[in-house]
Amino acid sequence: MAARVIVSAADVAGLRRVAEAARTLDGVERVEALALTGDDVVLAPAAAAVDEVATAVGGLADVVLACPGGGALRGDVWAAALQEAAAGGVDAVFLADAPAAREAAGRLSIALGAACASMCDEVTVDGDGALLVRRSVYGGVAAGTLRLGRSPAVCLFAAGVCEAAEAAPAPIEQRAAPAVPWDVVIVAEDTVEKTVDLPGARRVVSVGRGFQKADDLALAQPLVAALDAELGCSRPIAEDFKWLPKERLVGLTGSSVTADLYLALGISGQVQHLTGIKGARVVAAVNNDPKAPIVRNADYIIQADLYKVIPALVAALGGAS
Amino acid sequence: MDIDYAREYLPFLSQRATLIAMYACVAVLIGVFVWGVVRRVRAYRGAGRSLWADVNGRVLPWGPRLARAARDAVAQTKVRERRLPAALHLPIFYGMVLLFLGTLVVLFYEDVLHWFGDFQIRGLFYVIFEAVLDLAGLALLVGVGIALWRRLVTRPEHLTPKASTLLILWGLLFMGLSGFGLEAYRIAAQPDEWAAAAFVGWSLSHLLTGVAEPTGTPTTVYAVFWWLHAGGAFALIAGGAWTGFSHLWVLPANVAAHDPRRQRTALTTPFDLAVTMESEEDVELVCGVAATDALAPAERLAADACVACGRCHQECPAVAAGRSLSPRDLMQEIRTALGADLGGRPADRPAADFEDAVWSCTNCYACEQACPSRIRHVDYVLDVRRALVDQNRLDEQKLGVLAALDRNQNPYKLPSHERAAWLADVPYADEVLFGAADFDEPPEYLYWLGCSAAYDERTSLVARATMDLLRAAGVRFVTLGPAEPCCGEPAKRLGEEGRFQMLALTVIEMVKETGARKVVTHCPHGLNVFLHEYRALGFEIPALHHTELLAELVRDGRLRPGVGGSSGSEASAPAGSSSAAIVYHEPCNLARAGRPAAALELLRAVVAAGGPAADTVAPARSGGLRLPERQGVRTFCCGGGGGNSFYQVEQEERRISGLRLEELLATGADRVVVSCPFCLTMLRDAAGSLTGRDVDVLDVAEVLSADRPS
Amino acid sequence: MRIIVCAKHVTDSTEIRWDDERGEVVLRNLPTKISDYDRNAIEAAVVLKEQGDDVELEVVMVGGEAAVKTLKEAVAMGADKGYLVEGGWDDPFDPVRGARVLARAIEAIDDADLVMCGLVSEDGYNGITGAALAQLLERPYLAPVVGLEPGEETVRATLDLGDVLRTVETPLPCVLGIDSSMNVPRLPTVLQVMKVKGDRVGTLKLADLGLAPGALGELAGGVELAGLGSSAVERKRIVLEGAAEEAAAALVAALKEEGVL
Repeated sequence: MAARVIVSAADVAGLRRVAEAARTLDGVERVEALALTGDDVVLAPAAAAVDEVATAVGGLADVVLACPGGGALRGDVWAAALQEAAAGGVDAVFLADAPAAREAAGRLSIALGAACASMCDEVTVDGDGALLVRRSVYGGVAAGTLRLGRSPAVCLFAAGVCEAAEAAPAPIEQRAAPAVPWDVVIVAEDTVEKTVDLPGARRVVSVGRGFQKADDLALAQPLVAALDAELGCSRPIAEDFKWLPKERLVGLTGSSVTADLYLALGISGQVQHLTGIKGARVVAAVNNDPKAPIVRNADYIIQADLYKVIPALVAALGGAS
Repeated sequence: MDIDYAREYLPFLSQRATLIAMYACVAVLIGVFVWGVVRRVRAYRGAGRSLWADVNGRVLPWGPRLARAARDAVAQTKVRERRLPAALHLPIFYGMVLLFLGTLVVLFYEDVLHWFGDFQIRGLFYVIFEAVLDLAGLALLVGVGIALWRRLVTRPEHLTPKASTLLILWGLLFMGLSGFGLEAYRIAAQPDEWAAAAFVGWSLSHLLTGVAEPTGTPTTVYAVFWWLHAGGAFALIAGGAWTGFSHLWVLPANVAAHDPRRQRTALTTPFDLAVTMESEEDVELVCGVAATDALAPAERLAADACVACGRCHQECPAVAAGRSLSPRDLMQEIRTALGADLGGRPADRPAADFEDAVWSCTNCYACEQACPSRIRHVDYVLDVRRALVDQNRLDEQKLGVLAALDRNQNPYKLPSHERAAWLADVPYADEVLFGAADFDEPPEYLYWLGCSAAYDERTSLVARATMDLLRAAGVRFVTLGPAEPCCGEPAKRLGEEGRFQMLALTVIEMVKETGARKVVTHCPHGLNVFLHEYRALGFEIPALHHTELLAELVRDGRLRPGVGGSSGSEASAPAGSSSAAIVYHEPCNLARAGRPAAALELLRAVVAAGGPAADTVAPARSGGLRLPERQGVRTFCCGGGGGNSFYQVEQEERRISGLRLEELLATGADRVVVSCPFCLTMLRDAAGSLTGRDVDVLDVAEVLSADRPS
Repeated sequence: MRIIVCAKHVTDSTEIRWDDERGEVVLRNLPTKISDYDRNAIEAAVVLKEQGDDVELEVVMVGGEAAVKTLKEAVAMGADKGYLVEGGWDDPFDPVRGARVLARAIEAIDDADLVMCGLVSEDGYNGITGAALAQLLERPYLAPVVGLEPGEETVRATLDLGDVLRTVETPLPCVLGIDSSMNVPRLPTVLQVMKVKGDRVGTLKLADLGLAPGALGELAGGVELAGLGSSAVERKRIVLEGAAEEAAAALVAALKEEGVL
């Protein structure tokens, strides 16, 4: 029985997600949200921001534990703060996935002697009061259910979305700063500006040899912009015509994508190309050849001239937003 | 007719002094020659390995090797394959041989036989002798003239003149001219009745009338020219071991050092993993050439036999595409590293120096086919690749292919359980799938699908068409279907010999288990592995290409183009072709393995079966069969061989597949027929890049299958 | 400097499939290998060994007897020695147990200045083991590491935190989680793996880890797999009919429905 649950996350959206997961769990009596505060801390950079946290988890958490976390978000400090908050007995700790959250979850599991599961999509309680975690396993081949037969349990939730609730802010309780026996000094910090990131892109619009000439690729630009997508291409575009640099190549000899949406424009779908789009969640294709292999490897297919479909898509998206 | 004139020996010269000086020089220069030969052979020998052994240290039978070397030298077999080079090299070669023999004959008569009696070159023999030698000299001058003209005036791109070659050519020119000059002087000074036999010298002698001095007395001018002429000859003798002129003996030696029975497309097998694993001894296996110093003696000899004629450069698809490889330059760099020429310095060039070059190679063997020295360029490419693999210098793409062969048993990084999934939809699958099929006796053929047919939807149609045809002809065959692993060709050609052999062991076991008497495959790359690479590991089952089997079936009347039911293969139907003609692209791996005939035979049969009733005949037939400029053994690569299908070559100006397609379409045909899945993919990709022209690419089996009207 | 890399012997993830007829994940008779992410960790360590003067590099692997071949491959990448924890553990879903086994194994081998792990494992994808191991060994944990500069007393590492590249410094000894983008791991050739002799591959028995026979269960983290179901991404192959405008509108609507816009 998970009577007391502590939740924490590196950002407000994540915190709402785990707080909601905890609140809706059978048998939960008390949900406490831990917020690390600090000079430039990711979660709650100032007192005012702690208020923001309290508002965000209003109706979900019973209390916000505000805990000084130092200069930057650190997994070891986070784990120590969670460990102190857990003193006096806790049944589960829910965290939202982030690099520091993984460290916190790993450390905390050892410190508390807890059962630990990551990549959780959904958590429920079985008849014996043990937590059941649903997550994808074996690289997404199957959906698995894990039973956490030990209390407390530490669950690291996969990223997700949840709607904001309208409720009174949760009360805030100040806690003491935790101690960590070593220093991790920040030497330098660079903001990353990635030019082409196909593997990391959430949406990819890819162009193939359905385009008649290099200048025609410009036609796809408004669509790329409207979808806030990364531009990819098939092998002939990068290697035969060299209309686009090879870093935009999707497929066996280029990048593999993991995007939510993969939109293939005028791509026939040779095996080399299909290999690279297996990881995409939704594949849509525009191709006027009903026999092209991409047709059997897409979720949505528009069998028409891409020169007509692309402007129509841009218009439809414009109307939608 | 009585001819009573004799050739005079050393006219106008003081005989005794000249002879002593001449033979002294000859002795010294033969010494210089021998010294040079010893120096060269030392450069080949390296770590005490035999010059005459292959990579596995075996000394092969001499007979066929010497026979081929002799044939190449005497008949100039390889030289004659190109018209212009033949037009210059044959006169130079035969001219020089005759002149050299003529000189020997003179020396023999005057300085040997002379001591045993009154022997003289006289009478009719004298007349013929003079005429033949003049002809030889003229031939030499003509040949040298053309050679110089090419190098200095027309200057084709593949022929970068080397200073040493030019020196030799100018030297030969001087030899010829000075020889005729001396002759003309002699005739002018001592005209005789039969002097016209030396027709060149005789003609020139008219120019010298009045210049020539009185009969019988030594003249300074003559002596100076005589000594210059002789000096040139001496220099050639000595240079024969110190310059590119050494090709006179290095080239035949190289031909003799290599096994004529080894097929062009067969690669080397430096060790046998199965034998090593069973061996109790601790064998240190070495694979690849980490630096030029590690080259086998025969490989150094071969590099030294490169005369930079540029034929390989002319034929090489990597050169045509602007990649960082020229087989000529590769050989010349290795040759320079040997440091065997005068002033040369041995250098140990690491494999990494040749990295871009070896990955640019498509293993199409055009270089080897063209090479008059019979250099096996691909052996060097593979050995350097092997070293780079051993040094872990592969990029992510190549590593990915090798890892996928281990993990997924195919180079496409696709799961093995998705292999040949399309076979489930073939109505007669259970009758041909090994394990599922029930046979009273072992099947005659194992039909090898290959990774491309197993995973690529387009190539799967080729396999389907082939199977339909084999069934129509009543051939008893099985396929391993989804259980079939990769044949290992990409690993072999990328230089991971160990991984190749691990795969090979699996394949050999599986093929044996089927009990099939022969292996047939539509993939020339797979065929090559079955024919040569497995054989080196003890596999003995014969293998053939599907075109060969289909041609045999047509010949035997078991399969008739124009008769029988059309089946399968919808995609092979011509899709909106604007021209009905077909053009055949010969795959390198068939052509250079010496097996190019069957596909053409089939296509000709299809065209012939077309008959006059044009409206009932499939378009492929009515348009006729065309052939591109480079065809047969001189075919041009599609760009997909040697592992090139699986990685990108950064330095490139044109796609090889695009170059080839242009050449194919220049015949006016819009349907390209191939007989290799790699060619199919590469040329289809290139065809897709065309605008304004609808080109269809299909396999011979599909032509045969689709053009059998229902 | 002493480095220990923790590597996992896993079933090849690219070959695992869901068998719809039997309703199970097919795991038997599949190729096994070093977890891909651990190969990045080994590569990073081998590079340190190649660059450093006096670097001793060992690999510790957990897995069954079949893992010996995998361990040899890991060693062939350039380690001095490899250890296989006998009777190990191959549950992909209990990272805590994995960390406890590894912590004991590391103490049994001899402590190291740097303990390096792949950021996640190819089978479990938990991303927990490294941090749990750091907690057990009571030392700092840096991840996801994309750059590395070890010093005498400290280590400097660049961490890829998505929108920010942060370079940090922490005292040795410490534990590192190596990001797969840090390098392209070398692939040892079959010959190189064959050349790894028996004396470069050792085993650690349970007794070496201070455990009684059958006591491995004591280290369990209490997570077990309770059920499996299909999650196959079969493409829907829905053809949107109509003129360009019509079809485009239908596609936008469908993509909204999917939640990808």
